[in-house]
Amino acid sequence: MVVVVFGSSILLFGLLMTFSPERRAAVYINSPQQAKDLPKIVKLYGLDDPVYQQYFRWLKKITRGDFGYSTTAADSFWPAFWRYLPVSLELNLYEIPLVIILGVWLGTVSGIHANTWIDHTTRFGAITFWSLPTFLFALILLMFFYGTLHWFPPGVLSDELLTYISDHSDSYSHCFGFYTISGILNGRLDITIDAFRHLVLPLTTSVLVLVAMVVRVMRSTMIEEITKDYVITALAKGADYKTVYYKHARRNAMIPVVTITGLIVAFLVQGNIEVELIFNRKGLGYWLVNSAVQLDLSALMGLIVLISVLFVCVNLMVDIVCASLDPRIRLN
Amino acid sequence: MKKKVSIFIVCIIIMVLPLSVGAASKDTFKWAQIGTVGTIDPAKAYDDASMGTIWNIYETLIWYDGTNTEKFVPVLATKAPTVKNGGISDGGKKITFNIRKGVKFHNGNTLTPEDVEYSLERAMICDPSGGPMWMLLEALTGTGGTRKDGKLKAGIVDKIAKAVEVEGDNVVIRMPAPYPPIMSIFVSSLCSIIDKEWSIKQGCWDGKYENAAKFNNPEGGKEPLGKISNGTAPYRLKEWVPSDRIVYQRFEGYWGEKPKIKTGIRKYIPEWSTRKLMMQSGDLAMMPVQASQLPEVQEMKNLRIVETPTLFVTTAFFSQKIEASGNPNIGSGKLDGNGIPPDFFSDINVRKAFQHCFDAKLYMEEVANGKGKILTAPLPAGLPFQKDFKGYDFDLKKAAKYMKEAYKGQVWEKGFKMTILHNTGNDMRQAAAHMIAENVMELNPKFKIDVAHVEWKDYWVKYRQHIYPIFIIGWFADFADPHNFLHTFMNSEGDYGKHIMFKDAEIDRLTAAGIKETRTAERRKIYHQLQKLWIKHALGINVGQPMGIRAYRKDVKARKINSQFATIILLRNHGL
Amino acid sequence: MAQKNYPRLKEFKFLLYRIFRNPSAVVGMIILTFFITVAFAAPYLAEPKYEDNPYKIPHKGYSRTPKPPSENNVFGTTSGQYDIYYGVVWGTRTMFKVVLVVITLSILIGVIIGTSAGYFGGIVDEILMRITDVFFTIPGLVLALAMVVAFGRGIDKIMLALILVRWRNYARVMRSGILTLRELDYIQSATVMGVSDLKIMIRHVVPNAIYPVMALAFLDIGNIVLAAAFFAFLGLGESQNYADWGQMVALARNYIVGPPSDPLRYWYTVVYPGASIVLFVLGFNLIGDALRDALDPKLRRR
Repeated sequence: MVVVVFGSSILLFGLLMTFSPERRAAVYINSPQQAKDLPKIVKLYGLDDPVYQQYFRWLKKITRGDFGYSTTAADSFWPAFWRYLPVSLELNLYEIPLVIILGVWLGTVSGIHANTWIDHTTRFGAITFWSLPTFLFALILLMFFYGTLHWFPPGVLSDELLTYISDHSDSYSHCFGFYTISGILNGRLDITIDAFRHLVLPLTTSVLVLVAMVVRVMRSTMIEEITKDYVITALAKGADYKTVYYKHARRNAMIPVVTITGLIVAFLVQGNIEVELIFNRKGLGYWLVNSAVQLDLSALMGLIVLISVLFVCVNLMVDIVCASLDPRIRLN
Repeated sequence: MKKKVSIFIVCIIIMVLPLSVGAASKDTFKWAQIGTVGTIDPAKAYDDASMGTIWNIYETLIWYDGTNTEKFVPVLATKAPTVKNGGISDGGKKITFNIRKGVKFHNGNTLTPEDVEYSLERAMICDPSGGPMWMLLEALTGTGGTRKDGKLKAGIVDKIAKAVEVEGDNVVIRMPAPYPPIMSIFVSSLCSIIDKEWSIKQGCWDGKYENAAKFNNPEGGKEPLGKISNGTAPYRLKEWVPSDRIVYQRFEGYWGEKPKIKTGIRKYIPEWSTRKLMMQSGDLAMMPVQASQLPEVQEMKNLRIVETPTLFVTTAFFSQKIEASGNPNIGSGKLDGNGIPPDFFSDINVRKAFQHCFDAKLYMEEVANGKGKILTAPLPAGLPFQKDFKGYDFDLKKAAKYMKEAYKGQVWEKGFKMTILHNTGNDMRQAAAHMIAENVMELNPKFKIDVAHVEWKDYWVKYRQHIYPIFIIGWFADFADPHNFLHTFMNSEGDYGKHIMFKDAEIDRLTAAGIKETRTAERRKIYHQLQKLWIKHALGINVGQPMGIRAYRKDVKARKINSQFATIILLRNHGL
Repeated sequence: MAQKNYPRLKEFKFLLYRIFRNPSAVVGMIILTFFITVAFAAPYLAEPKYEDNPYKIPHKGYSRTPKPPSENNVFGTTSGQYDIYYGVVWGTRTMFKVVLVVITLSILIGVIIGTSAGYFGGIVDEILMRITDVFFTIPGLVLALAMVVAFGRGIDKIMLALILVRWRNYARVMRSGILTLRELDYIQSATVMGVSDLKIMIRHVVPNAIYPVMALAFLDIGNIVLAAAFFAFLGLGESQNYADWGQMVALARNYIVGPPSDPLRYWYTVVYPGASIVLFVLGFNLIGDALRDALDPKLRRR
């Protein structure tokens, strides 16, 4: 496990080291006027030292919890991380349940009515959304629902309310920066409503695009489930098909769906990159893309290490679950 | 089921309803920009976004008089020094500032002449790499930096100490030689006045010259004043969420006339479509617009477009000695139809042919939407001594003629292949690159030019390594003086001049003489001559001087903008 | 009798039957056939202006404002006056190029690594799978982004980055397929009979484990196209005159909605390239979906 985290940090570090020292120094400048000082900046940060030295210097800092200064966030790593994290989490907080609920529902319907027009339409619809370029879909939604109709604005919260919160930051309980919840806690429903207004479009986009993933799995397990003996027996005995299908069969069919939630965790980490970018929600995905495009070494390395750790934990859990399900794998 | 649906519909209605309630309040001014503010340490900031923030929360000794870039008005000084009022003496080598009394910092401290001395000296002692301090250091100590090989230069601290002295209520600046643009350097954000007592408490230079080395060149992100401020300006920094938003609040203890807007919010919105939509919805009071985007904005209602000529020049330079080894941009590296030799552009015929291939008129009309000015030499209009000398017109016949002469006809016979690069996302430069490439390819089917793009920071690094046969890059005035442009662009030691790999004794002599000369008539002669030399040697294609365009919501009032601040938003100049 | 001798052929026929029983697969096939035709006929549908590089879209003028469809530009022109029709036609070729190269090479790498890991097991498996894990821990899009940034801009760099990111999926699927196959009797007996490892792998193991990989590949193609389009949108693609749908969508991004008085004025700039992307991806996804259903043992003989 540690090996994998090491490996990924070395992989990325190696990748970033393919850049010339001057190019890595350019991360610290913001106007062509400053370019003449590039050699000096290389010296200041020791960017032309041997690669292993730079890696160990970075490693030493990391072990002390010092993830450095992120130039894309214009802040030190940890404050920036705690600022970006809640924005992504809040989106996922609503997105994951919505994707699963909608997916399970559509998958059940599709499975029960397998190979009828209902099934084909549902699947066709889900796959169509799955085939949309998220950024374009998001842009189109933004243009119409904000640009033309002025309904749902981009961002996280209106400026007036942000100002209100920062004015009252002592008495206001922040609740990890989840505005939808903190609004209720503080008796400011307008904050909650405003936060939801900002969430509508990002949620619509990502839920519609992702739902196909769940529909697929749900449909196939549902088909499998309703042909099983206990369902047929129950139906033969005259039990209400609704109870049999929706209560018993569906409950059993949902187990594989739980396993793909692991996959959705991956999305949680990536933080809906395209959605955050278009809707100007400054979360982890937004940060990742910008630091990758702008070569922000500290942010990129720090985030990758954190993500690796999380990923390894998730994979370990998936492995354990798989081993307990399939004895053939356990033998080895 | 029906119940659920109706609840859902009610929710949507509730969410849509408060639309009209959330209309912008009367005393809040919101605007959007693209740059992120990295630091608000006056000694470190050297980009538009950071300097713009500093100008809003700090004040300098003097300021430009309205839109004029050569006349000054006092701010923290009681009068703008001139030769006439005795402020400038000793042949231009001594400047005296009488410091204003009764000025309060945001924390309540009173401004003293010692604060002024400390501010200037601290900035020079810090001198962070990549910072702007070379300007003041060059003027006040005669040398552009405090370090050599990573260590403090001998005697530099002494020079800094002697350059700025307090004499009673005055602060006296002494320079080794007259420096004509010095006054406009004092307007720059690097000469912002900070509070000595407060700054030392925050961990800035302690005021002792022997300790200077400890405070020199602080690590990026760790400058004591990088995130906090205590200025004298009419606005103070209320909240700063890095790379997201900055909230300014009116400082009620301001010494001068109080500005009209109470709260200002600068939002960082990198995506243009989002910015545009926010403006269209009335959520923003102002946003800057690129000339190429102008038509999209012009059709929006309730907007007012304000244009200011910028002190900015974009030029496509010919690199006369291109890096040959492993350079994909010059193909085979030989004049064999599949590449260009590294010294391709050292033949003036090639340079002239390329010059004639740039259709400046069409470019102005279609790309810049008629906003901006095509220059013949890299000196923006609005600066002294700028003159429109006759340059190269768009003429493919002439271009073909020069190409036929180049390399004794070999270029025409064998053809060539090369790549022109521009930085990603810059519409204007992209269009220029494509235009030059396509027009040159029109001349002869054997001429092949590809256009590619790279990240801007890659660009800054690579043009300095001479990887690009033609590099298209711009320069924004550090201070309003021709020296800042013509020296940078033409001198063989200038920032850009160094990289076109062209050395001409006359150019070097004139660019060096220009900054030492104090007589206006002589300076005019020198800078006119330099502009003519630029054209004569065809050193680069001038893509033009863009117009700084802003879109204001109709109800916003704004003062006229000085060219030096064409891309800077100064809150105090606005009203609602 | 002949059928008995070719069980694989029979299997394949059955697979095809199962796929085309699904109407959406038929729709997918029609869409793909259309795009394949366009790709092959590109030089006849839109005559290139630059002989040496037909992917350069011709343009007249430099204005950023798009112009509506006219006689010369049947789909109109996008920002920079590039002909949308030409871009869409040649963009089909670009897309097929991207898809074929990326998918072939990443399957090849993935199959080789997955097969070796699964078949040899032990230390080989351990090392290869740790390497795969390393690639897995970094979110694909971010890793590909970092790679494109590292290699430089352009469609070839995007392809390379996508290959380096995509192979990991195939390696895993292949390995788990082989893990179950390896223990089967006929492979065991082949080993006992002294058939060489390479022969067993190529003749017996890979052909039997390849179907899940193929199903994954079809569904992956959609992701590849979308990722490539997103990179182009971020400004990491080719120069703006390159016929690439992602690039064209990026050019049109400011014109999705026109001025408030006429919001649909520039519809053609985004609809043609955007719809091309969606249809192209949809085609592959529909077939991939049907293929996966057809291969799903749980749903198989219903």
